[in-house]
Amino acid sequence: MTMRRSIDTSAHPDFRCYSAGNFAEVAPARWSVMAWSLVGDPVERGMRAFIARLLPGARWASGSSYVFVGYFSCRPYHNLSALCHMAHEFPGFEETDLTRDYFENVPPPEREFRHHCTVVQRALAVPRMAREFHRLRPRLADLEADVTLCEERVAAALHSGSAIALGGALERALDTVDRGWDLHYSTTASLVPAGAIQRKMGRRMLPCWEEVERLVNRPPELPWNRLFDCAVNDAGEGSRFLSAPFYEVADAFEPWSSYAAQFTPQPATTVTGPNQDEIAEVVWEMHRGVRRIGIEQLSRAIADNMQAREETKSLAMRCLHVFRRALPTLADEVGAGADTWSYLRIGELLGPRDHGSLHEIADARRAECEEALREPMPDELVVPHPGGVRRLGAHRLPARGQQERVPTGVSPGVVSGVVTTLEQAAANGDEPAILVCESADACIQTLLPHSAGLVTLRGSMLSHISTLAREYGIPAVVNHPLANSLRAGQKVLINGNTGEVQVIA
Amino acid sequence: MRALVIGGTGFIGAAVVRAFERRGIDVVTLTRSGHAFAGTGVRGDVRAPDLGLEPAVAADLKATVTHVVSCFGSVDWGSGPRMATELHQLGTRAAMRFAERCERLERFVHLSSVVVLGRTTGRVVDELELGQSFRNWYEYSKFLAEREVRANDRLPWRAVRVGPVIGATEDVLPSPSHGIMAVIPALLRGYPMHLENHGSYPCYPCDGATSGEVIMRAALQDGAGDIWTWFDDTNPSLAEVFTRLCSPWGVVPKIVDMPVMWAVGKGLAKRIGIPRETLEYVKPWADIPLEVLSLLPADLPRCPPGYIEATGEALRRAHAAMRVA
Repeated sequence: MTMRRSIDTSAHPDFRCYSAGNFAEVAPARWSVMAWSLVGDPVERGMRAFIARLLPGARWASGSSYVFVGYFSCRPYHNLSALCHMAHEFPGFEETDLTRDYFENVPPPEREFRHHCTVVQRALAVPRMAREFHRLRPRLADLEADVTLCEERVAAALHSGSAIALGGALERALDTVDRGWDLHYSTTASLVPAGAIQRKMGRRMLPCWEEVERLVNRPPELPWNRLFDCAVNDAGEGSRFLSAPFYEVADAFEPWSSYAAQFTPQPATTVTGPNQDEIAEVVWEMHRGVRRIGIEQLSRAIADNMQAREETKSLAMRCLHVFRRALPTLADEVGAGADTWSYLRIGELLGPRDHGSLHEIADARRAECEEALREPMPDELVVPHPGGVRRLGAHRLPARGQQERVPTGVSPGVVSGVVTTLEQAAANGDEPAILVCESADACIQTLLPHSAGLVTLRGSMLSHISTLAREYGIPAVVNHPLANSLRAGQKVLINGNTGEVQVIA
Repeated sequence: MRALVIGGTGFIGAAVVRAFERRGIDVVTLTRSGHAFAGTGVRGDVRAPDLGLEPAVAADLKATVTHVVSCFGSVDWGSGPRMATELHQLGTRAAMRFAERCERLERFVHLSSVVVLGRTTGRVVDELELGQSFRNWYEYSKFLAEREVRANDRLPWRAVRVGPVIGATEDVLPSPSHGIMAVIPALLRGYPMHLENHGSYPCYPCDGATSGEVIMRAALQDGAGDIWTWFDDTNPSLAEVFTRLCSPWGVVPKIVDMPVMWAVGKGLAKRIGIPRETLEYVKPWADIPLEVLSLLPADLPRCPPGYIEATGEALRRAHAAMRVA
């Protein structure tokens, strides 16, 4: 694997272990250069800002190389080494907490880079994180207003037909994208250590904490059902972003369209499952005193953060949709052409360049992308040091399929039913349908209202698919090896509390 | 007439099966082991589809059963929320789903408990949703199960609420590890126990063997969609029950009204050998008026005199470790 193309980002010299992680669960397998510039760069900036707020002395989180994300052969990755290193600098937080909640239980990479961090520095991260939680709601309200304004500005500019107005509106929209991803990754990154602290407290304070955790760590309300209802009932642009693939803005253009699943949103008419709000109340009322106050307040904050995380994700998607709509027009205006802009970075398209140079850049990248897209890319990779100056040691992430999968129940409940897959729906009569799939493919949202349970090959507690399952109140097990071998029509019993999946017939 | 008793080898289930047998009714017991104290035993599991029955057995039962009595469940106050969702709530749902497919069904009887009322205050006759809080997952799971039953409009259901079941039945002894019985070893060893108002509030106990008879009657009696709350009509207080349970050992339990002892007990619960969950029952329980018994058929049996002492005596014989040194 060479990864020396100009479209590839430079691998970080110290953090060299990458995982597709959450990108692989919900996003297209390969992204256009434009999509990367609208997601990867803001995510990197957002994560750096987050680390600067929480760990002011963390100079490892700066520099000219990407630290937290990477883009190799048109595939986006999270930098597993860097994120695990971040985990090391939080008190009471282990690398495995991160990989468990966010990276499908992959083993943490060996630490090549060590940064001395004092006990005091680590301890100070806790009140700073509490401040992050505290500031979350006002920041979210500001962002939502900004996104709406941004949609209106770009719509007005498109209507006016003015290239200058459109360029100006998109310049301002870029700021909103930055803030959207910043907030989204702040909520995500703070959830993991908060969850680890909560787990440690819970185990000490409450019996059966492992069982209780799934019941209380559930957002009071998630935006997706509401947004899908709007998408169906509202003829405007407001919710149309939901029918587009996550992250990719050039989904209507080759070759990116072949990686981006398209689907038509459906209203969620059937929401099953127990009343989770009631269960959370029941949990708290069973306990008294300090035991209750500490764990309840932290759990409520986490649940609220989980809700905010999904809201920020939907807002970031709305921002991307603004670009999805406007970029073809802008490209025409600047003479870049409809088949060219997806190979450019947003800064190049908005910046002062002449038509000829844009075409030259795009043509060169197109050739590189064609070559890169022919190259199979793994879900996890360790980028070797150039010239073998430094060696990574013996650690290598196991190839996908050889990993030991740890089935995880992510949405509580027990249900039995007949397996149905994305390729083949089972003729199940009265029997409930258990949807079995690899991960959160885009079309899955439309099937969830009709499913009584869910089993996936990939995923973890904070995966999009897990969030959706909890929102729909259907029992779900992720990261289960049986998901590969189950066939439509088989009868299975799934336990979303324990992660068990049992073939009955 | 054919009755299916789900969970027929438990403390109450066994008494129900015996009651059906005495009445000369063909009774089928569904348990995980397939064992039965009387009638026929079939192997099954309420957590599995179609109650985990063999297809031929399931088809036979669906064609012939006229009464379904749901007595299964765990009585462990210390178990976690999984029990709530998997065993009581989903198990009851599965039992009802099976009963709905019984072609000749006349009655579905659900065994509930007064603990579904949780920490509610005020008088309760047959209400369920009172905004109560719960002391443990057992209470909540029984609440969920009764709510499932009450919401079912496709079944001729009846729910029977009983209090702590104490007496000794022909086949099964009450467990000294669960429920209010769990404090008996500590009381016998002379540890003082805090009960608000010295435990003068009622705890609605009932006799196990007699409750089997009552549940059978609930299955056979015309009518549906009602709640039978049944307990000892002498309405003994919690302190009285403890005193009578300890009497075979010649021990008078030290019952005090000192909240500090409650805190100490909580702290030392593990060392003393008392489940912490039991210590949540030291305040007055829900107020159920004796008049609820008058709403039941007049010829229902009463708890026999001396059943509480008899339980203590049976425990004394069966559990040598509980004898006072």
